Amino acid sequence: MTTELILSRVLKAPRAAIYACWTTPEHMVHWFMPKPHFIDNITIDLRPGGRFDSTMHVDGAAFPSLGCVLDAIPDRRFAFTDLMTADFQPVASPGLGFTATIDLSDHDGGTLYHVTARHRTPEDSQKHEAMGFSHGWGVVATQLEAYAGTL
Amino acid sequence: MTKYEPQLSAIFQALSDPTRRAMLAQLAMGPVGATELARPTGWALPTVLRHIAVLEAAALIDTEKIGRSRMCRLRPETLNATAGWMATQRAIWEAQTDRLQAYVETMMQDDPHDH
Repeated sequence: MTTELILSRVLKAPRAAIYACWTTPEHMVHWFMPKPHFIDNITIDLRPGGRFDSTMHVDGAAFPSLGCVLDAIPDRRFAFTDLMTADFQPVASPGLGFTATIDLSDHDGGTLYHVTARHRTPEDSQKHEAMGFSHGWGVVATQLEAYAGTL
Repeated sequence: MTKYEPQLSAIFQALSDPTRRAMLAQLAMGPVGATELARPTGWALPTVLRHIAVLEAAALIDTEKIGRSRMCRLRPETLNATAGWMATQRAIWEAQTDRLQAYVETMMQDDPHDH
């Protein structure tokens, strides 16, 4: 079973705007989480090894999330993971356990938005931390609902 | 969705052990008794029975006592649930990209000279 997920889409906006949405806390709060959930306390240190921390609020519960920036090439690429915290410090028990790379390139009428998300295999996952896992599934249910509403 | 959560944790925990994965691989070829399942592992029957219990608790297999033997049978539909987990990750990214698209377009309209 594959654990790599690839998503490609053309967005009607220049690369710089999309990069700003992904790397600026003031922008992220507006789209990162599906309503009524929200994200705050976002800290992004835009350099490889920089922290990518936030607090996710799901169903009234707050989940601190610590991550690490893997790559930050202005208007081109942003990559991060929850498998490490600042300065590439490995975490003992990650929530989801993934790396994500967002690549931006010019495309007719906008930007080609290309996401590669790599996950641990279920075999490697061991027992998920109750918090991390239930959080993930809580978000999922709501997002699926929102997503279904757009179809 | 939330109702699958304990089941998925149990599945991932069950799959984290190489002996149990080997047992599942053997069961994929057809139902066998616990003693037969124990043979290639070289482990004592009680140890193997414990692994069987973990697999059964995760709904990865069914067992049935037939005479003095415990027959084990794969439940493939459970592994399909883990494949559904990846589909869920995709749905998260798709939905998030929808929100990013909507937001960035609004941002461009509000402040087209800012970027």
